[in-house]
Amino acid sequence: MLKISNLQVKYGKIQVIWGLDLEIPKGSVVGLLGPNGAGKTSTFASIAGLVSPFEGSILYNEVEVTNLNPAKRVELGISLVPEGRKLFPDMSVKDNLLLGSYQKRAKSKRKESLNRVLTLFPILEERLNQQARTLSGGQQQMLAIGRGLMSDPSLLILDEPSLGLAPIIVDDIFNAFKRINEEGVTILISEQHVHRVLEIIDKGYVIEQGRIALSGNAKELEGNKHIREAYLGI
Amino acid sequence: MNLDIIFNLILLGIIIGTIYSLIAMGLSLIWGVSRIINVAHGEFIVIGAYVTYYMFNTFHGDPSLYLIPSGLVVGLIGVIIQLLLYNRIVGRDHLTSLVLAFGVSIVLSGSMYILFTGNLRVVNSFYSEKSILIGSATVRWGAIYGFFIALILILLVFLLLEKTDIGRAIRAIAQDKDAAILMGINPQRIYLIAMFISAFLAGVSGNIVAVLYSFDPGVGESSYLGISFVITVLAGLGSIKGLILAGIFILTAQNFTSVYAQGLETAMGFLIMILFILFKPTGLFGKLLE
Repeated sequence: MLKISNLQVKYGKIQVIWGLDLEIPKGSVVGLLGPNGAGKTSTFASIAGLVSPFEGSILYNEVEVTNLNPAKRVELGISLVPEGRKLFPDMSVKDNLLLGSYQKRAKSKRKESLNRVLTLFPILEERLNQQARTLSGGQQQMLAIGRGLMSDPSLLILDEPSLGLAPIIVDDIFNAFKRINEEGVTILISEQHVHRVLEIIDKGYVIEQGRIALSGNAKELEGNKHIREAYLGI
Repeated sequence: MNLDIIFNLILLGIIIGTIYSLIAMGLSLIWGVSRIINVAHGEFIVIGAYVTYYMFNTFHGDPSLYLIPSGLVVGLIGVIIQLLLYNRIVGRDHLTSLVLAFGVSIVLSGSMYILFTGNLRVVNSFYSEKSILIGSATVRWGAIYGFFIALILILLVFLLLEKTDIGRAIRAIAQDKDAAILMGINPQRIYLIAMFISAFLAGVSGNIVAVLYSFDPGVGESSYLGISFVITVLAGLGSIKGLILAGIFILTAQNFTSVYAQGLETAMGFLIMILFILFKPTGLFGKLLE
């Protein structure tokens, strides 16, 4: 579904991604693991079209999207739930969700998408008219995921979705990811809770200093000595 | 001071204040959405006044007929200026955009002096000549006309911003541009739409002030820009409720000043603004001005 080849990204003179290759099969859950500052967010930003790589290509469903603007990529079905949620704090929960379906294709399926999100996160239905800033951290994350789903994506990218959340909430949203994936949405997720994410991914890439250090399925990664020492603390 | 006078000052404060809320609304919208302080806003209003003036002198009839045309002409001018100039500096610091907007303001007022001369113009109609007595206050029909037009337009803008997809997108860009881009919103398009609305409102305001007051190309800066600025700061960016209250509050305060300390009305407006900047920089209801 998504194929990244030789991705290279610079911010000014500082290069942060050095020839990254990554492949996401349709219907899978793929993890991008690695420490802070390794380049996970920059990789996601390149996929969503927020930064332009100076080298490399991104193919989405066999279509070259490397130079498309973010709006076109949303229309094609790529949805990024950014790190730190980036909600519209002074707008209602409902307005936040509706903004997720701003694009034409999503707008025609708005009712269905809204039902789907509210079934997935019933707590949001009770808060529809509240301002997003009044939600708890966990609810805000649910809203961010829900907003991402409102665009009716085929590829949902989740950047550090459990950051700062209580473990019990993390269980909830990870369960939601499983259900979203079962509904046919391909998921790309970055996570610092590596043991957590290993439970749900089909395949994982470990990114270090802007390069893929290793990759494999969950079992392989779990058994890898480097992963165990650096990320799992075993 | 007797109660009649106090009643009159407050009544006029509400009526004229609401009109000034509309006058300030366009400035506030562009400031909040594009982060440009469009100091050419005053000239936009005066262009609207000239459109009404020339259409009225050519076709006669009721000046309200020229309300929408004035809005459309200025709206179009706003769109052209956005495309040619403001799009280039969106996202830069306030100094850059201020310098450019000052340039636009000077070019527009200079062009108007050349095209329309500096003679004071008035639109002599029923609205400026006839008055109505409300309690003990004599209110010109032009003020009543402006008050209702302003109320209707403010309500329409409120509904547009709150209830439509475009309105939500405009608010989204104002609150968090990066997040809005993630939603698939194209900022350039929103800046253009916001500018059209802003300039349209300025043109319509021009129709109202043409009916109410005499004008020349210089009044945009001297009579309308400063007070729009004061009302916008007092209201806080992003709050329509704030705009209405701020407009009424400032105009009422100025009315009282005109009785106690004639000549200091404008200074009073700025004094209130400075006090707000010192003690409540987000304005009455603002969320956007850090």
